[in-house]
Amino acid sequence: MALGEPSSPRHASASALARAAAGEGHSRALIRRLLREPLVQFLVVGLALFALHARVRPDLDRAMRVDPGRVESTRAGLAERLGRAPDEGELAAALRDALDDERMVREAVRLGLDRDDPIVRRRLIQKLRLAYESTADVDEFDDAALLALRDAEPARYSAPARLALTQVLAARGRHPDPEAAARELVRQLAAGADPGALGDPGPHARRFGLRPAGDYAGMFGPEFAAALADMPEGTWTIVPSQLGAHAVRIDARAAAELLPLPAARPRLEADLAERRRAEAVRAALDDLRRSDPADLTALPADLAAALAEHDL
Amino acid sequence: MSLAACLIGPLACRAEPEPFVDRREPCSDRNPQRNLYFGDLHVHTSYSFDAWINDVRTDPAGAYKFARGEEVAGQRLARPLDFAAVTDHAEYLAEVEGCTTPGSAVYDSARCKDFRAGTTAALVNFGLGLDGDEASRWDDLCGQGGLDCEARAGAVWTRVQEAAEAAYDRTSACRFTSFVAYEWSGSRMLSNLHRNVIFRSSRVPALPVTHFEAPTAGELWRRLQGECRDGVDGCEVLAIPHNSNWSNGNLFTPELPAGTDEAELAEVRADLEPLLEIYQHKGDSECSRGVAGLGPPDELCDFEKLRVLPFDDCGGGTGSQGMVGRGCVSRLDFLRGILLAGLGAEQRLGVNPFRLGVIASTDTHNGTPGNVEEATYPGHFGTRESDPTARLTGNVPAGARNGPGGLVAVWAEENSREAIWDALRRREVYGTSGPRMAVRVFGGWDLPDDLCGAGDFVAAAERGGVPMGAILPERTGSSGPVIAVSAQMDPGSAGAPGSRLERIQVIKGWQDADGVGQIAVVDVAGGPDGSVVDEATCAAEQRGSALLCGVWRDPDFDPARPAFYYVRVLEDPVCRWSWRDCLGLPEDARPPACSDPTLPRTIQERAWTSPIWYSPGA
Repeated sequence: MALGEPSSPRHASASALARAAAGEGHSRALIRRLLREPLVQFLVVGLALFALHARVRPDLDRAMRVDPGRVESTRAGLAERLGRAPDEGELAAALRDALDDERMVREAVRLGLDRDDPIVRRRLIQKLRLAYESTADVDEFDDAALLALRDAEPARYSAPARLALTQVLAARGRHPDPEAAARELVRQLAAGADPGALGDPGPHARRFGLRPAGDYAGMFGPEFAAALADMPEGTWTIVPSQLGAHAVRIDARAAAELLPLPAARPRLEADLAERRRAEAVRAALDDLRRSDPADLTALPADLAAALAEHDL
Repeated sequence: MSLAACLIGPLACRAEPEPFVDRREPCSDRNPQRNLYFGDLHVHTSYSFDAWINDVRTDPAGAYKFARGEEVAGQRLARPLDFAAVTDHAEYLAEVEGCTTPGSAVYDSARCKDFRAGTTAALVNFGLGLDGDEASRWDDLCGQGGLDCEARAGAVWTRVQEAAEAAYDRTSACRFTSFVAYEWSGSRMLSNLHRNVIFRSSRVPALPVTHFEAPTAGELWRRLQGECRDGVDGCEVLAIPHNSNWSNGNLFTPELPAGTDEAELAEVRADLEPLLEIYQHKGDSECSRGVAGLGPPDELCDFEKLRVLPFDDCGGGTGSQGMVGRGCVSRLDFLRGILLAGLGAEQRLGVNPFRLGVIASTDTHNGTPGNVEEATYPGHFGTRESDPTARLTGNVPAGARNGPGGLVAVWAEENSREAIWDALRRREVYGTSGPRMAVRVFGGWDLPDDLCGAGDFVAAAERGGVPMGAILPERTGSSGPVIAVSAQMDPGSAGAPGSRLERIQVIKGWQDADGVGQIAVVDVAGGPDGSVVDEATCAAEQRGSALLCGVWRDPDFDPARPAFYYVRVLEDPVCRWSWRDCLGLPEDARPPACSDPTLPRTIQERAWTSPIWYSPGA
């Protein structure tokens, strides 16, 4: 394997490596300023990848070496599994199996059997992707970066629009025509009848406070929630659903509100970390595309040119 | 808390927790009649050894994103959850981290290399390493020259808390609640003893309690009391056992070390373990026709059973090796038997240690909470079950008998940690095998007979009744208690309508005059409705109801004997995931599971509510 399992991003970040390289005498603020410089970022990512590769590069001879430590750890593993000490034959068989595995892997790689195997390819891609992600700086976030992310996607970092309503159900199966029954409910409700005295005996409350429309979809179905969007406040309306037909009155609405930074911070930090990891992958892929370009020579020139413009 | 209960022991007199211990905005919808929220309280991610080894790389943050409705690893929930708890195995948090971090002190060890290779031997070794009271951390990973496993576990535990914090909606919209949680994963002779530990707020101990430090349930409870309740200001906790169907009777056979006061231990248990997860990926633990003592034959107990006859009945004893599908099966492996045992203990000790509410969850090992649809089941164990043939032929742990698992439903005032946790604590909760049907239960002595006529069922029933999970108040009148149930079908999601309801049943358990546990199952609304499923296409013709409501008065009530009443709500049948997988394969390529007569082709999804109890001393 060219790479071992990559580390958790929190344990091998570019900033950690950069801090180590910068030495004890430099302040963290200076490092943060430097890290914002594109050239420094490039160098840091390169150094981090080099360091990562150096750390996980396997010692090829070691895989075939049988030393006392390997014998003892194999013996201990067998003892756990068997519930007793293995005999010499069992020990030798376990060692031989592991060596045979290594021999077969080497031979398979030599024959190129790994190249067209989708499972091997998926594992390698997954490992490399995680290795690139581990170079991202996800240890610290300044408020400006968090606010920029919030303001770029206000819908994601807002409390959603909400509405409060009262509903009374005429259930399918309890009425020959649920919509006709709901019309009668609306007539009585509009005349001032108590919602608690009418309708079918469902498990939910009749009145709900300010909740997102998605909550109503969960309770009464997507058709019900969709009908709420343009419904006027304060009047009874008939809404059909999988359950039958409802008499619904919207009691209040609240508009979506952009969250202040303290309320949005945990999610912003998580999202920003994920974006930085994605950016690290993208930057590494850019390098790979430059060093390993697609061969477009078999294509007509105009098609090749058009595709090349899209970073093929 | 009643004075009588308070006099039994000091734990029962513990002050109620503060309403709020975490700072947050008040929810804009706080409903005194209580709202219904669906969640998943049993979720494994890449931090669990048995998920990582199966190529799962979704971490707790990813699992919470999935629960909130975002796409993760190519999958997305049609409907987000309202709440979730990531419950990674507390054991091996440090070891998994060390084995997968290049440059760690143990990265190049043989055990870590085996682990990363995902060998069956490694999975077996890690699994067996958790078994038995003498289980301890491995010296080669956590001993001299290895990892500082306590510090590593602490760092991972911090990340678990950070992921929960990032997912928790502390705004007034209250869209999503996360819980800080873990799984204590003890077993003995391969009989399952696992519990999920769920904290009420962000105030939690510095480390999870693992099977290594706390080899028994009693030690776990002692540590939760000491390290959470007594050790961290504002910390509150409960533990939820699961997979009693894997326990050979051991999960609910009290252990009584020398010198233990049985009543005191029962009290501690009742206090810390108010719930039982009776349904999840590894099958159903409600009831069985294969063991004695669970009442008259009930064909609806033949539901998602991990083990099918023939097997031995443990009788009054216990067995071993349930986690590998072996050993005897006990009545204490099933909710009905456990609740009956609780009534017996109450008669004997004055304390019912098994006054258990009911939940379900997924136990997903893909980091995908709430992914419960039969029609889109992607398998349970990462790449090991990622295609139909693998799912139908696998044996981890039961192949085609596994399922996507279920959900926990909670009636709470609002979607906040404290409100949902308090609902769990008072057992106003129920489990479903996946669908989101709404089920409300009240019990009382004077509930009106016309509750199921016109009008607000909840407002009328709560005036004279107590909700699911409660104990009936002191008896009034001379009749038996009334159980009132309203159930609404799952409305479904866009393009995937829910199934209609077939019937509501009340299951009563009581002790007869000879002290023998008895069970009765009564249809109180709906019934068999002639719905059919075309097994050639999986098209379902459903004739059930959108709304069912029933009021039932117990006609055979003995006020001298304790009793419980829980409710089961059944949907009309649909195709089971396994048969959908079979239909997707060419006939000559279908594995034996597709022609196994003991493997159902359809499933009748359902909900089970927490019981309402009658206690003569209440």
